[in-house]
Amino acid sequence: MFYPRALPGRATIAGTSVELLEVGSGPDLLYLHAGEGADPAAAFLPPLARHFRVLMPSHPGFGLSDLPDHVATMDDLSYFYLDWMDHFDLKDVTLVGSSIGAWLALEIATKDRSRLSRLVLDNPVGLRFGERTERDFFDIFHESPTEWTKFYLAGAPDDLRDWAAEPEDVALRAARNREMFTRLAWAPYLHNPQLKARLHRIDLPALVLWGEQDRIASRSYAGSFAGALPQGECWAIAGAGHFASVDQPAAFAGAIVDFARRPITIAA
Amino acid sequence: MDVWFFTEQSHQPAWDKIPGALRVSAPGKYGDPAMSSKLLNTYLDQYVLADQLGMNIMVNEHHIASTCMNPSVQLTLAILARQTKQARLLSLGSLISNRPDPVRVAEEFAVVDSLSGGRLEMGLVKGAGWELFASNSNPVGLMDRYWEAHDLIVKAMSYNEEPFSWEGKHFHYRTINLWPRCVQQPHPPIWSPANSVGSARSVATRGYRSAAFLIGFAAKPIFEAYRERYAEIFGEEPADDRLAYMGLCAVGKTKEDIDRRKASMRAYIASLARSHEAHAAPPGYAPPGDFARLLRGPSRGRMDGAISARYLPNGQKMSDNPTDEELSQAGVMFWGEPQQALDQILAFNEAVGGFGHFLMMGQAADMAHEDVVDSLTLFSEHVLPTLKGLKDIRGTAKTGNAVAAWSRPQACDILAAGDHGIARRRRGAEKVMQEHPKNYSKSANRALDVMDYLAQVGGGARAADIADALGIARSSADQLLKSMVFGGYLVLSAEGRNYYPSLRMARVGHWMSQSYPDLDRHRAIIEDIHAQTGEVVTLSMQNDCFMQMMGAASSGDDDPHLETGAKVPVVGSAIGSAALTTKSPRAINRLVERASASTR
Repeated sequence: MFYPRALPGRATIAGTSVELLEVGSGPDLLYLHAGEGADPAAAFLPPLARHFRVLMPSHPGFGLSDLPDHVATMDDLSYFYLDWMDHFDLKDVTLVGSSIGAWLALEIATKDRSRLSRLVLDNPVGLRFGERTERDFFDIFHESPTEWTKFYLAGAPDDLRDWAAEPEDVALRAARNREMFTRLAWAPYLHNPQLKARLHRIDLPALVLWGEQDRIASRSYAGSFAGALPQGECWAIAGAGHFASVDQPAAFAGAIVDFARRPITIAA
Repeated sequence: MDVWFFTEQSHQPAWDKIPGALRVSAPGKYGDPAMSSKLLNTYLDQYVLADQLGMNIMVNEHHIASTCMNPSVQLTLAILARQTKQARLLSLGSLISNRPDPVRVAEEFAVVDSLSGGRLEMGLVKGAGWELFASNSNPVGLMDRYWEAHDLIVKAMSYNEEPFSWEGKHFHYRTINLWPRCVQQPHPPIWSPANSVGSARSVATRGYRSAAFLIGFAAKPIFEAYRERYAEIFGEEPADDRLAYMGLCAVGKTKEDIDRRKASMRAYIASLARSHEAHAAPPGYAPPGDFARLLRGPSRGRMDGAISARYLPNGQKMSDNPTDEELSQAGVMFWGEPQQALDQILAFNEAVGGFGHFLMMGQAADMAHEDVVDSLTLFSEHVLPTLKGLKDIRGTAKTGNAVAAWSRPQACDILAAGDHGIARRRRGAEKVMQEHPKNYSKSANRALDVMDYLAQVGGGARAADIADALGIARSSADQLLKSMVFGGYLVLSAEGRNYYPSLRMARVGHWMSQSYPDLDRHRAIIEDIHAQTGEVVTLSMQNDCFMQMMGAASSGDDDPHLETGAKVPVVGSAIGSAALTTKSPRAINRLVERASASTR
C-alpha cells in the first residue's frame, strides 16, 4: 500500500530545496510523481534501478519540499524541472510521469525537449478532448478525501491505509500533498487548455500507459491522448487502475524498460 | 443588545423529495418555480415586518443549495433598502474570496448603502467549503484572496480623490472609480464571521464585528480571544457590540404554537446533517494539520459539524438526539413563552461573557408565515425591550451606535485607502497607550503620526491628505495641525496649503541622527539578510524591560508581530535572549528583577 514517506536526500535548484530519491545506474530517468506524492518504498523502483539511474524528487510543495511564493501552477513547476535538468546537466533523459506527473512532463517537453530522449506518460491527464459539458475525468473532489484511493487503485474497496499506525508526519505529508494537488488541479480541472496546441513541439517517442481499470480517465481518453502526440502510442496494463505503478509495479517497470530498449526511429 | 431577524430563505418544501444532500448535489428539478416565487416574497414580507417591529435585519447568501435561495446579499438588500424604514441592513455576507470581481461587490454594496440612506452593515465572509464547488475558486489560498478582496473593497469605497488602478496578486483593475459612493464614509461598518479562535483574533486585529453561528459554548473561548486581541491592539476592552451570536429562536403563547415552531427549528437542525462530507472541506480549505488529524482520527472521514457536538453548561456533550431543553441550554435554540426564551437568551449571554448582537434565526425550515408573524410580534413586545435595554456584562461603555462604531477601527481600515506603514505605526502607537494609558494621550500619538507621515511622503502635505492617511476627521486634523504650527513644530507654506516640519523638528532630527549613526545602513542590512535567507528579519531595540520592534524585512505582510512599536519582554523571548547574551550577569540580574517587579 502507498505511503508518502520521507525521501532520503535533498537537492537545491535555483534556491528551491526539494526532497530527492536517487537509485540505480544507467541512463538518466526522471520520475515525476502523481498527486498523492512520492513513495520511497514503491515496488517499481528496484526493477527500474537495474536499468536506469532513477531520480525521483518530491515536487515543490509536495512532501517536505519547499514551496516558494512564485510556484502555484503546473507551468511554474515545469520551469523548476527545466532548471533541474540544466543544473544536473542531464542528457537523453527518459522522462516518466504518472497522472499529473505526466501532465507535468508535457508542460516541460513543450518548452524544451533538448535534454529528453523519450516520454512515458502513465495514466496521463493534462489534455481535454470532450465537449464543454462532458467530463473527461472522474471528479475526485466530489468524493470524501479519505476514500480517494479507492478511485485510484484497481479493486480497492476503500482506502486501506492505516494512517494512525504510521508516524504522524506521514499523514501530514499526505495532507500537504493533497493541498498542493488541489492548488494545481482544481480548475481548470486536471488540464491546461493551452497545452494541446503546443504538442507538435514534442517530436519524441512517447508511450502512453493506461491501466485497464482506471476510474479517472477512460480507454478512449488514453487513445486520444496518444493520438494527439507526434509520436505517441498507447499500451494497456491489465489489472491496473489509475495508479498503475502501485497496482502492477512489475508490468509498469517492464513497459518502461521495453519501450526504452526500442531503437529510436528518426521521423523522415 | 440589538436583535437581527434572519431567515435563510430555504426551499424547504423540496427537502422531502430530494434524495440525500440538500446542498451542491440536490438537482434543481425538485424545486417548484411557483413555490419559489411565493416563498421568496413571503420571506421579504417577514423582513419588512421585522423592520416595523423595531428589529434589525440580517441576510445571507448561498449557491447550489435548496437550503438558501438567495444567491446575492445585495439583491435582497436592495429590495429591503426600499421597503424598510429603520432597520440596519446586515449582509452576512458576501463571499468575497469566491467572487471573481470584488469591485462589483463594492459597487453593489454602495448602491444598497445609498438606497437605504446609510443603513448597510457590510459582512465579508470566507464562505463554507461547499461554496467552492459553486464558484470553482481554488480552495487553496482562500484567505489570501479574502484579504486582497477586502483591501480592494475598502479602498474602492474610501479612496475617492481620483480613479485608481489595482495590480494585485489575485485581482487586476485598470480603473476603479466608485459611483455612487457610500452614504457612510469612508465605508459601512464591517462584519466577519469567526467560528474559531484564529479567525476571531484576525477579525479583532481590525476591530471589525465578529459573529459566531449556532456553536453554543464554543463561542466563549472565541469571544475571549476576540476581547484579548482587541485590547492588545486598541488599548481598551471592546464593548459587547463588537460581538454577535446567532441562534434559532421562536416564541408562542400556547403549547401547540410553541411545539409547532420548535418542530420547524428542529427540522432545520436535522437538515444540517444532509451534506456530503467531501463538500465540507476540500483539500486546502482547512490547514493540512486538520486534514492529517482527520486521516488519523478514530472517526475517519467525519467532519465534526454535527449538532450533537455542542456542549451543555455542565461541560457534557449533548446527546445524539438532544432534547429541546438541551438545545436551549446549549445556546442553539431559544424557545417557549416569551419570558422563557428571554431567560434562556440572558443565561446564555451571561455564560459566554456577553455579546451585543443576537442574530435571531426566527424563520427556519417549514415554519409557516403565520407562525413567524405571531412569534416575531410576541418577541418584539415581550423580549426585545429587555434585550435592547441590556447593559454590557462588564459595564464597558457601548462603542456607540452602528455608524459611529467604526471610528476607532478605521485607523486600521484606512491602510487600504493610503499607506500600510502609517496604519501599522498607528497600531503600534496604540499598543504603547495600552501599557501607559495615563501618560500618553491620543493627540500626542496623532502628533507623532503626523511627523511619521511627513517623513514618509518626504515633503509637505495638505491637511486633507494627512487626515485621510491617519484616519481622523478633517476637523480634528485641522485643529491638531494648527496647534503643532502654534508650537513651532510645523510650518505652513506661503500659499497656506502644505504643512512642513519646522526648524525645531529638524533640530530634533539632527540630534537623533547623531545618536543613531548608520541609520540607512540598518535598513539595508536587514533587507539584505532577508533577501539572502528568505527568512523574516527584524530589527529590535531594548526599551526598558522590553524588546521593541524598530523595523522588519519580510515577504509576508501584515503580521501583527512585525508592526513597528510592537513589544515583547526581554526575558523569555528569543530576541530578548539574544540581547541578553551581550550583557554582564549583574546587568541581567538587575533586568530580571525589574521585569518581574513590573509584572507584579
